[in-house]
Amino acid sequence: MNADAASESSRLVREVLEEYGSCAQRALVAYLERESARCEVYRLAADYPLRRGRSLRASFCIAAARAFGASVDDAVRCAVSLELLHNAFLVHDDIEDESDERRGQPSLHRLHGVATALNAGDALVVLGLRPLLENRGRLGARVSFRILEETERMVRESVEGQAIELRWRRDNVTELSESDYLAMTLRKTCWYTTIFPNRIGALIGTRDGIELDRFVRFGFFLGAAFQIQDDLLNLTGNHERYGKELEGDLREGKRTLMIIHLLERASPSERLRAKEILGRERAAKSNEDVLWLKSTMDRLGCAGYARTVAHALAGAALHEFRVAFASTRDSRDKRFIGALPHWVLERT
Amino acid sequence: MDQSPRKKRPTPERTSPRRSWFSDAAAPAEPDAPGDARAESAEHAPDARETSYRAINNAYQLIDEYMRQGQKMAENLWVPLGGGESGAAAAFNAPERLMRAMGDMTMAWMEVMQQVTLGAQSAQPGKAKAAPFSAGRGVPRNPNQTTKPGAREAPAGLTVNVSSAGRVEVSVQLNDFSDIANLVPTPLRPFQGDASAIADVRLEVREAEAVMHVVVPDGQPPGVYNGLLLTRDTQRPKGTINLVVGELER
Repeated sequence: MNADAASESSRLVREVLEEYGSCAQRALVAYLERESARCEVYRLAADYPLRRGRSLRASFCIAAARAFGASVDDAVRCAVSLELLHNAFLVHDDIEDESDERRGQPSLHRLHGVATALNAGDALVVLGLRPLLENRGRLGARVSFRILEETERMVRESVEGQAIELRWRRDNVTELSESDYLAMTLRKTCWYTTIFPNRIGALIGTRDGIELDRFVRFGFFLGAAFQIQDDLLNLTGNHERYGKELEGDLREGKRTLMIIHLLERASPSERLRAKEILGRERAAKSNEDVLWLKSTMDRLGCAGYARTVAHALAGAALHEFRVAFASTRDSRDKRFIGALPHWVLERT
Repeated sequence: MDQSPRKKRPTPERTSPRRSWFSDAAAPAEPDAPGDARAESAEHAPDARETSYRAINNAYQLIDEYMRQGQKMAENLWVPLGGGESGAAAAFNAPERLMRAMGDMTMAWMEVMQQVTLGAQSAQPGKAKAAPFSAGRGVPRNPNQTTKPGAREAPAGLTVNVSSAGRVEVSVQLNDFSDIANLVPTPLRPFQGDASAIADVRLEVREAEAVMHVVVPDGQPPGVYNGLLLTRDTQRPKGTINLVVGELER
């Protein structure tokens, strides 16, 4: 892809994210305002959604639905539900990871305590179900039920993925490979970030008239590239734009691809030290520990390796996009989805 | 005798296929990488192609295995109707009936929920009314006609010929047979462990059919081995080959 085409595709992604993201956000705010009037927990639950992220998932869902012939209104409830469930995951993730920041502000449990934040996360899950029930008025009971089935699967895959990662950290597992990382990422990240929005969009657009497994490969490669880039940004990104604590993954002992590479390439004594640091509680990790992990990563080329893998996966995503969307007519929405593999890598 | 210097074939730029399609895909080129990333990439450039190839291979193996597991689960759930309602067929129909009953029940539950929560709203003039139950496809989907997740067409026209001293199980996934003459199989690499790859894998295309020959060496360690069917010119994967050596799970 030449520079002009790359710049054009980046512009398209930004435009569509803004357009569909704003649309989903308006519906989300209206919905939250309605609920917030009833009980305080919904006001707390509204905190993260109102901080507004990139709306990638919501925009992807709407674009996929439109690429298959639906209108924005057909898909907007699913987009809202997806954003709510995504924010519920974030609230719970921040507690599990002991993260201090989210979208440039203190995390919910830092503001209100763990118990209150946990309950607000639960409230977001429940709020996320209502728009799916309200789908029936527009999409009919059968399609709405299929969407519920898909949602149940997505949530199940996501919590299973999170369980894998939490177990690695709890048991200080260090004998991990690239394949282990990809298998965990497939469930933890890809399902709800890239596979599910695509499947739901296609399901709405075709009124359940398409076989959805064709989108799994594309979503997997795209989502894995997205996650690796996200992990890289945590190491080397711009704090203001990233919106989270830099090097937080190292403090949390997250098993990123860079850490797995470090453990593979390090000398036995280095591996031992890395394992010992990773096994400590977050609060027990000193700045020196984090600095040592980072400098060892630099020396072993871990970021370069992860970047190469992310680029390779994005290339494979592009290939699978062409396969999955081969029979779909050209449209702005299709071009947006096709530009995502490029976009995930250039995020800063 | 001709005294002119002997003509020599120029040294080729490369002697093996480019295994990564990433280089010709539209993903951003390395020069776009920010800051020190560029220098780091350059420093590790000789490894980059191998890293890319291995990552893609790992990722395809993983997702194919995931899809196969999904297919097995689906097969267990959606047992085909035998046509009759007695004996073994009826027993097989029980889970399917249960699933349909649960589906009907949930839809009924949704109907009730909607009546309670949205009924008044829908009834207002100018508000969107609920679509008819059959909105979308005209006929409710018959679970027996559902495409199972990960299900593929039967590989008509492709024969797999495996030579092995021990027990093996082989499966080939290939969606599109139109360009089969242009496919090249890769060696079958172990899914786990350090066993050597099964390198003797050939695709022989005859007039009416294609035959894949796989020779499993004596003493090949038991395990799962996977390979790809790549398009000869682009090196892009069109299908997968999965071989299980010994200790088959039944």
